[in-house]
Amino acid sequence: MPDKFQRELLRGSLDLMVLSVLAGGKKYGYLIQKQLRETSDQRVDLQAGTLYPILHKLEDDKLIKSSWDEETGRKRKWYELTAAGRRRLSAQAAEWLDYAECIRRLLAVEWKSA
Amino acid sequence: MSHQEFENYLALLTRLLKVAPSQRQQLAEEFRAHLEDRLDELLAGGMPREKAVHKAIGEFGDAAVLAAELAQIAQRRRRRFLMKMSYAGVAALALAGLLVFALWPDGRQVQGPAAAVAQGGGQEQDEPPPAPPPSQVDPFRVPGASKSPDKASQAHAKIQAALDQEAEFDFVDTPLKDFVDFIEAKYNIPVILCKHTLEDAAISLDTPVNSSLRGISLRSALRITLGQMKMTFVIWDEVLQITTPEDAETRMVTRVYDCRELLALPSPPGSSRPRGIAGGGGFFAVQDEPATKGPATAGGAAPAGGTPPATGGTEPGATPGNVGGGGFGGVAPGGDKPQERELSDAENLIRLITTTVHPDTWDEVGGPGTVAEYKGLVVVSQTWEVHEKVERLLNMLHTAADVKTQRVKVVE
Repeated sequence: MPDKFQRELLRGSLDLMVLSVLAGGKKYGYLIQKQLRETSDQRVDLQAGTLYPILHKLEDDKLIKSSWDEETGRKRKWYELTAAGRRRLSAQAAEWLDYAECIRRLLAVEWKSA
Repeated sequence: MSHQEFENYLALLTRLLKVAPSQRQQLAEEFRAHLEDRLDELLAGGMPREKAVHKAIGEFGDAAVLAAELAQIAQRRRRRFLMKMSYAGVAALALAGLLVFALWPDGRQVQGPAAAVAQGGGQEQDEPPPAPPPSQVDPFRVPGASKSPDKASQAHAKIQAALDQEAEFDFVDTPLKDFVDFIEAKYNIPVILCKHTLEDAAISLDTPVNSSLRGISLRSALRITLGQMKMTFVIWDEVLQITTPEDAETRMVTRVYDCRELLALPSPPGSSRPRGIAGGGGFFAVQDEPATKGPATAGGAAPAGGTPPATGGTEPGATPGNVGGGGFGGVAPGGDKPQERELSDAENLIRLITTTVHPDTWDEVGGPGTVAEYKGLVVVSQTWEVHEKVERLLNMLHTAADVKTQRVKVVE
């Protein structure tokens, strides 16, 4: 199994990852954490202590909204994207793909020739 | 299903959090669900319970770090709110200043702090000989706190100070009684619900409180929040009491406002109004007062009141609330012979108050409130709501006139 990504590398993209996971529908914190872990092959493993401040910040910024629900047998706080969150996700995702592509090309030239 | 170790962890975490109890409880619930989910998963994988509990907590993260991060988010939220408020605040202050200048009865001329000091000094020097030293004559010379006023005054001052603090309201369906507990704990002041009064008004102690207010004073936040639920508060018997507006209206409070600096402001040049000779303006009248009459001034000063305003205003013992007469008519030079006169500064100030703040609540129009003046100290008996507005008006006058102290001194 490949190593986990370094924290510094993740820092700028955690919000985007969380928004992206929520694009698939309403989820609570534990599910978001689990999905991030599974989708990334365990390479993105956010501690709850990191995840919840992100969720609360995104909620403050009105990019996601929350509601309480006990239907799953346990009282849980569910998060979902707002319209603004969806817009932010599209814009940021496009920017990241651009960035990744740019890095890839840069590395292809510079790193391989090094 | 909840495990005691989870509860200990959550208790520690929430203790570290400086947020409203309602919010604290929500965070605990959210985190508890997470810990339990993780525990279920680990148990399902065959891990022994004790080990699984420790692992779930270990993975969750350091409580102190998490609390600090959440506090930072709350702070960011506050800052953002304050930014919004400050723009509105600057505009409102500018408007208030203009308004007060337009209403100011003596015209627009104001004086700087130096002149105000000179006036104060003059008064002390001219105090009549039989009178005790200034410090004893005037217990309000120094702001209440530094003169060790009685216990009730201290308690009220403490509550007032708390009401001036910045509010941090973040209540979602918080039962009224929990809301009260929060205010009590957070601002360290005694708060009670007037249970019978509220119950009579069909307001349950479990009524959900919903309020998200930050960056404004606790006073305003309480007014707004309680007002939405048809309630209000009064400071009564050294306690902040939450009750109905109807009940609050029956509670009359006597407060003394130190208006000496305001009354020491000079009239504009060319003003035809004679000052200090008509008997009404306590401040100026006292300076020329014959020595032998000094102690008699107290007669007219008592805030009790009750009889209708005297028309001449020159009799000793004229009643408070007497806009036409002035409480101290009798002690001023020429006080014992009626004469044509204009309103004194103090009378003008009283008129300004009674015509600006809840004009229908003053005794001259049949209301319960009274106002009288004694040597620049304005004694007002009114409900809390009116008092707050009187204080605000006087503070605005202080600000607008740029007098030395920015806020009016109040003793209650």
